[in-house]
Amino acid sequence: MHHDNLLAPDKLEALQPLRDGLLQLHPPRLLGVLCGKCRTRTFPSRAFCPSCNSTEDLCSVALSPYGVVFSYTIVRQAPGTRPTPYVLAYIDLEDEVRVMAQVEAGREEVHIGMPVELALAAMHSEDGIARLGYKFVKTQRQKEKV
Amino acid sequence: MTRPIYIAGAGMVRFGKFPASVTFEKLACGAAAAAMRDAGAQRCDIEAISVGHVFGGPVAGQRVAVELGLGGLPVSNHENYCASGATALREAFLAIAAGLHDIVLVIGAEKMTDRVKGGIAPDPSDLDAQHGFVMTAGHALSARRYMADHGATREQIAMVAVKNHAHSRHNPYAHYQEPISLEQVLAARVIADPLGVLDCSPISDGAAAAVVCSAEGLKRLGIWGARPIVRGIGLVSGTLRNGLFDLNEEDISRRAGEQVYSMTGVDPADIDFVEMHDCFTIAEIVRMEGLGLIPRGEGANWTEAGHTSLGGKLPVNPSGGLLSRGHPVGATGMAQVCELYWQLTGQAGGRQVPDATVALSYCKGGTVSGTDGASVTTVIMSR
Repeated sequence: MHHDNLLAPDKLEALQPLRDGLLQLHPPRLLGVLCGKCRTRTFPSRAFCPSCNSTEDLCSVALSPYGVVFSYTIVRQAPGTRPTPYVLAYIDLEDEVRVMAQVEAGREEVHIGMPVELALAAMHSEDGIARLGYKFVKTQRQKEKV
Repeated sequence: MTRPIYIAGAGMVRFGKFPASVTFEKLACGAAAAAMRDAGAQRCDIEAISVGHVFGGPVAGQRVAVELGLGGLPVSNHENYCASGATALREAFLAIAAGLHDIVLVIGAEKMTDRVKGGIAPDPSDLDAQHGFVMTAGHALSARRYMADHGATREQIAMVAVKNHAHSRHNPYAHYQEPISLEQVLAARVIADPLGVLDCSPISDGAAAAVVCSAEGLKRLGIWGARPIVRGIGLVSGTLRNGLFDLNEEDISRRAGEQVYSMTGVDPADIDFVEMHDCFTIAEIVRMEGLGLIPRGEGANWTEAGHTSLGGKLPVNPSGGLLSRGHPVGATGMAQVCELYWQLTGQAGGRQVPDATVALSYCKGGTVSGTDGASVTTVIMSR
């Protein structure tokens, strides 16, 4: 199974991010938006709330790093230069936001409902320059809910 | 609609893998010439040209127009990824409905095999694409969830490919014209599990075209007999999905269906067959459900029961669909329109749907991160 590199934290943090405003580093969290009107959390942030269309009262919010695999596939052939295979999944975060990302897990290990947590990662790019992004790994957290 | 819009003639070149010498322009001109011949249209009859393509490059439509000897006319290029061909048809439909033109040539064309390798993906700037999202992966995620939510089996999903390959034995324009077995689909090389290579439409070259007319245009072409009517064309784009949505909800398909049903006044229950965008096996199932033509969660059962086969209660993809006719992406929408035309005029030979009167074709093109798709077209035609 190929995985985008999990580099040492200092090496990772030196990379350019995939895009601005996507994540914070300390601690690693995806940055979404919380709508003050309808209380919906969304990711990535936009200038409006996709749920109620409000453009006011939107504030940046660090999303929970914990979630479960909603659906997954092991991609064995892809166009471009990205090495295969890799596990691609939809992750349902605890705060009811669904994100797409790779999961670092073996094919016997990954399953619908698998608990995972966010990890910073160096992302493959067609221009050959790795960028700072994220993926999910098997959770280290204890079973009990916080 | 203010005035009826007809397909006066249609034509295709066979889809397949052709050498580099069979260029985009050659494919497009071949289909255009076949459609014009079928319509009895001379070059001087054509008033405008709409061309759908994705990988043809800048002003591909104008390059084709020049080769057809039709330089000087209004030419427009349309890119809505795999819905490009039907989007080009919509341009002609609107221009004729507005009274601007009476006879318009519409071409969908694509030369893929020398420029696309290993499948297609969203624009590299797309957030999902940056994580390794490719089209096959999206449908694999859909398939796995569909199986978990509805108890569908891998075999049932694979049966879509078996059915569509069986249909295209009778389609001389299809990329593949041989039947395949369920065992072959299941044993095929895995692309993104659970989908194997035979769950995926092939990378094909090809073109399809039609001459689209007002009643006045038909008269000018000397056509006095009946021709199929384009009753309406739906076009919608995806919307952002929030929270923990149902991945196979197909809200975009529902909206595209409702738009065309409302535009045409056609009752979905009156549709005799569907040309469905089966870029992947699972896609045929969930999109038919999204259109409201198959009850939610029943698509896989319907496939296994033969309801969507020729001779079944609602045949889907008598042409072989994208899986077996092939999928030159910008050409597909117009290939579907050709199939509707042939079926509605009783010219479909061994794949004829008996007494086909009303038919729907559906294309879905592209993805945008966070949404339920990019572009969906729905065309309803009747005889």
